[in-house]
Amino acid sequence: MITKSDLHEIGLLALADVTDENIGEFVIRGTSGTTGGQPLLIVRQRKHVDFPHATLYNIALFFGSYNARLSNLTSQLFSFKNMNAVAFTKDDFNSELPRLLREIEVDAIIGFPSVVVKALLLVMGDDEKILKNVRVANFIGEPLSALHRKIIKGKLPNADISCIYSAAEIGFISRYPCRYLSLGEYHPSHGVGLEIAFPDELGIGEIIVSFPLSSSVYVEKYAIGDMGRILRRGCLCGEKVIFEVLGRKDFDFIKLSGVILRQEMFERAFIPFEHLVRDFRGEAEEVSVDGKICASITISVVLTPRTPLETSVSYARFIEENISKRLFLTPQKTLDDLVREGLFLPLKVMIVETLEEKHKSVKIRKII
Amino acid sequence: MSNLVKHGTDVADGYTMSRDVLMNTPLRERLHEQGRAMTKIVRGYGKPFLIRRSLDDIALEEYGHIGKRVLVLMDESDEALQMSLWCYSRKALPLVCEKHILKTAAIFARQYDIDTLITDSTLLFQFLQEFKAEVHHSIVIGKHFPDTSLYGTLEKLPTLILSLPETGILGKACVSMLKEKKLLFHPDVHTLLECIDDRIIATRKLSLPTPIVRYDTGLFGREIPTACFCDKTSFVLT
Repeated sequence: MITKSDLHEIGLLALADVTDENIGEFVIRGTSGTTGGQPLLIVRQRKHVDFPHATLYNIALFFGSYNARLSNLTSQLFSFKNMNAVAFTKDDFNSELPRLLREIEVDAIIGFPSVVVKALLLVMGDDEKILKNVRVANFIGEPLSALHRKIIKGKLPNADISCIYSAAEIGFISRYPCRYLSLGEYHPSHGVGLEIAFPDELGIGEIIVSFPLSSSVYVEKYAIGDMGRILRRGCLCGEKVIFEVLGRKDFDFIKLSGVILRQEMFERAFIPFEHLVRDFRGEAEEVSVDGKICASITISVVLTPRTPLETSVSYARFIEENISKRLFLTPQKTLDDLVREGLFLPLKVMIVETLEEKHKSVKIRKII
Repeated sequence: MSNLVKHGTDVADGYTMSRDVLMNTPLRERLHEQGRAMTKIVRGYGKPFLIRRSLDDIALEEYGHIGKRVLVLMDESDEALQMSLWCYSRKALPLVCEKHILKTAAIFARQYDIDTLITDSTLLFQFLQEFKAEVHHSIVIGKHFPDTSLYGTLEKLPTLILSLPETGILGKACVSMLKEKKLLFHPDVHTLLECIDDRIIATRKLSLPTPIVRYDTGLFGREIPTACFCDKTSFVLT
């Protein structure tokens, strides 16, 4: 099994396969090491994806980095005729955004969910009509959370919402999803092999990917850092392999005290408090209490601007109590139940003014 | 034949396209042709506006010779994307980096063993400080250029391209004059330039999806007598 640090040694090997004829199929990507890794430079050949929007014309790209914008821009422009693509940046997230979207006559959106949601929230009132023309919304690069899904469905009522599982260092790991798959489920991309390392009783373990970087460079058994499982039910489309991605190992998917903590569960628990909580970050760790190991969760919360800060202590207690009752950590048990069983310490909530900026939308992490 | 036309000679007097026209005319009403293209958002003038560039017209731009391993380091995202597309058209694989990770960009540039740097005038020197080595060839794009004596500190003189995000290339600095620490430009082969009351008015001769015809660039300059041996019209920014 190889890890990201091993990729440093082979990152540029695929350059040997670049020719004047096929150069448009190649990208060179620098990844910044977003979740603790070292920066990595990698050359790879683009995997073909059967995007359904070959008949659409005006694609808006919403990505956080130049690298991701270039990779997706070339992926679209070099693959489809008559395609127009525009790459938005955070500098465009202001009152001018609806006008620009209207002028572009956007009919497809591709991007990171968190970036797309930020943009969509700026389109309000009458301007929302512009978004009715969007027929495809495809998400890449991070999981689509329950909260994001709810916002996107509300803002893009006519869009076919889908996700492609990908990583900067690999490219597309999954195909464009067939219509029989649920969100979060995928078929592997052509030429990509998938297995699960150290699966538990539910088959959940670390996703291991084998993939080509180019025609002569093949990476075997790469631990991508995500948790997931392979579903054995087969698919109505005829594809035999379905896999499910559950989140980043030790970040938005955490195993603690025999319980799996998923970012989505936290986001769901916070939905009723949208009027009160603007954003949050959680940290989970195992601690020793009187010689017994149990789990502890601390959540830092930023309140919405209209919430008076002087009452923050009482808000913290209110959130602790209510989130504990709503945060289901197993299908049947809430955090409150697990605290009573002595597996978890009571939830700690701290009201803060700002949160440390994390890449993408990593909202919970494990302290090791 | 000169590309720099004096007011009232080759081009009829009258209409000039102001930036307000670009800002206030919807994209659809300015579109001349459809096709595979990127739509650029031109920022930095207050109100953002849209310009469309096709892969074909980007490929025709004459930024100069490049190698095979290019680092694209531009302040503006869309400029970086456009230059990267141009690199692909010239059979070079572009590595694109951002200004806030200059240290990482320098590490990447060493790993990639870059032979060409495409950047803007502010980022050039900041990057070279981090890179701590010479770049075989650099292309510097923008509308402002620092004191020419600074370029003399470089082992190899860069190619300086006068360009605006909305127009593309307007002119290229004369290399022989740059060696003498003088900054004057020759008009781009695909651009017709006029100086009217010292204002530079540009018409792009490329077939652009959003045409640029007698566009008031907001830059000031004047034609000067030929001072080099390039046998081309020359102008300076004022």
